[in-house]
Amino acid sequence: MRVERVALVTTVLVLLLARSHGEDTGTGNVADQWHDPNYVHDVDHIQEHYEGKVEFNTSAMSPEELEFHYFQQHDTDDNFMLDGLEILAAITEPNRHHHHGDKKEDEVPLTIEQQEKQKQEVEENLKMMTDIVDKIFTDDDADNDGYLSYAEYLAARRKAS
Amino acid sequence: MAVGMDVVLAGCTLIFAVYSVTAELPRKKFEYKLSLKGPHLIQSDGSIPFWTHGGNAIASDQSIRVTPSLRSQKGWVWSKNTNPHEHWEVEATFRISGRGRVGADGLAIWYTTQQGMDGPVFGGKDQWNGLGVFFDSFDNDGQHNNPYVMVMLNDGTKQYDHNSDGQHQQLGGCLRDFRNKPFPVKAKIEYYKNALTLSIHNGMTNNKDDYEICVRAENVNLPRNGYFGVSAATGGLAGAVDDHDLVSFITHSMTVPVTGAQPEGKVSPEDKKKFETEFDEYWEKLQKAQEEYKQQHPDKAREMEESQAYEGAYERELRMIFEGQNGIHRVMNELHRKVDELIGRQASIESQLSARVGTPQYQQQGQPAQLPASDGMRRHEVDSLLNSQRDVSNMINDVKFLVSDIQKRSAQAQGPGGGDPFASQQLLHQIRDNMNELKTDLLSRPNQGCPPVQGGSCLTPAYFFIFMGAQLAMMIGYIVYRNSKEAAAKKFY
Repeated sequence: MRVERVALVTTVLVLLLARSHGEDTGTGNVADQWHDPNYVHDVDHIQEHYEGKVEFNTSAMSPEELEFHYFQQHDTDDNFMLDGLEILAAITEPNRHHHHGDKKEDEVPLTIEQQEKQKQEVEENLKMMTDIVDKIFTDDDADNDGYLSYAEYLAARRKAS
Repeated sequence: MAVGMDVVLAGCTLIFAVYSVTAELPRKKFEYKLSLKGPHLIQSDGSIPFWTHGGNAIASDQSIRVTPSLRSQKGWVWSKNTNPHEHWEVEATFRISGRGRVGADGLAIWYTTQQGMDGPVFGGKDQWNGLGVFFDSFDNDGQHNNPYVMVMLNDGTKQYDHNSDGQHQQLGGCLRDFRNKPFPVKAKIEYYKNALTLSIHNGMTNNKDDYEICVRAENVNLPRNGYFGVSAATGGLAGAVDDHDLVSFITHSMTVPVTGAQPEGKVSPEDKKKFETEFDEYWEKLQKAQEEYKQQHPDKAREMEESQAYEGAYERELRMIFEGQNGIHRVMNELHRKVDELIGRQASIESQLSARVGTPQYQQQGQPAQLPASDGMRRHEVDSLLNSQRDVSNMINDVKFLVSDIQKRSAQAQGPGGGDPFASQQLLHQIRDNMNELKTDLLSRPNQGCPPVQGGSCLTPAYFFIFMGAQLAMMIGYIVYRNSKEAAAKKFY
């Protein structure tokens, strides 16, 4: 089990590095991110979600409260549970923002080759992320219903920390 | 004691029975690799994770426009993964909206062994192997039975009959209006233990549980490892084209519950409780913060409300329709009441008329004015009126004759004798006669003697004189006595 996890973590790390065009994002591996209590301390990101809705002093928040906000922001259908697609969206989010930024910078349409390349990248990325989501569910989805309840989510995160 | 034990045992059995019934419900698991939903529906390259779309379909973050409202469009979305589960449930949420009174062509939800891209059946391939659920907007066979929802099974041999809207090929169906609804329409297909159930949420409310069963069929055998898909097509008529938007497609696998097997939870109950209270606490805090933000930034709050108001346009439309219908209903009731009143009045007029024909009266003269203008005069009515008028003139002649007779007689009576003197003379004579009578009466009275005196109140002369004498004697006696007294007094001096 532990060996498997280490193997997975390594694979993810390698893939992430390969994907990041040589830029060092410094985020480390996503599966660990999920279990890393410091991950959600990306306060700017949480603040960004609430822009134009709520004013929060995120720096004054306890880690528990930040965790709640991370969960709440990604529960997009408001059923107080994270499903596979919501987790997928959550962990691919930095990636998505990155690409959106790219589009604005150069509005030149991509060539067919670039498109192919992008497609391939997205495909690979999805495959990797899917593995992570699968792993999160096999590890943390205690009642095996395909949803991560808040209790399951917190239990996983507290266990890791 | 034994009875008490029995009761407890019975209670336990009952609880167990209830428990086992609830345990009979299948356990569901969300299958994210066979699902799609917003708000992050597409990836950075515009593709949908685990799904492929094509034709005229346009995918956005929030939903997939399977076909835009243009002529002769076809679009589809198919899952890349096959469904390995024996029992499953899919819930497709979509909007079909168009400006026309009728729409075209329709939308289909598929579960087939092949990804049936680009075909003639609502954008899907014909002669499919598996299940097709069609939302047929357009009435091809002119039976006025559309929009229609139908389920059709196919083993790969049958060809969908467009001309009859597949009426004789369907497993079942129901007439449902799924176009232009205030909320997205939902279709839930459940395939559990070879029983297929199709439930439709008509999109009139926001309530997730407002499903109505449309089709239920037992002994349905669907192939394993099929693909899920949604396709749509528009017709060739420019006025009857719809936007077909797929909002979400959610798949759950279902497993038959093993009785007695409790899902072992890694989260201990006390932890769970702690986490939940924590959650509630933060949730309340968030709500409060949102309220505060709204108060502090009224302009942004207004913006948010405006966006909500925009979403509420459908609701407003619905409310207006309801109000309009209520108005129509009210007017109908009013009309109904008035018609009733008119019928009643007509009946009473008819009965009055027939009564008057039997016994004509003087009032009949005013009758023509009372007749309703809309009711034309009939021959027999005119006749009866003429008759009654003739009667009336006859009677008036009679009255005239009588009046003139009375006048004549009074004139005759007043004419000779000069009136008053004659009468007073007669009266004087009468008075004289009466006086004479009285005189003779008075004269004859003394002969009749003293009238009889009642009781002893009448004083006779004898008594009178006796009393007089007695009184006199008493007075004389008194005077004598006084004189003697005076004399005695004088003597004293």
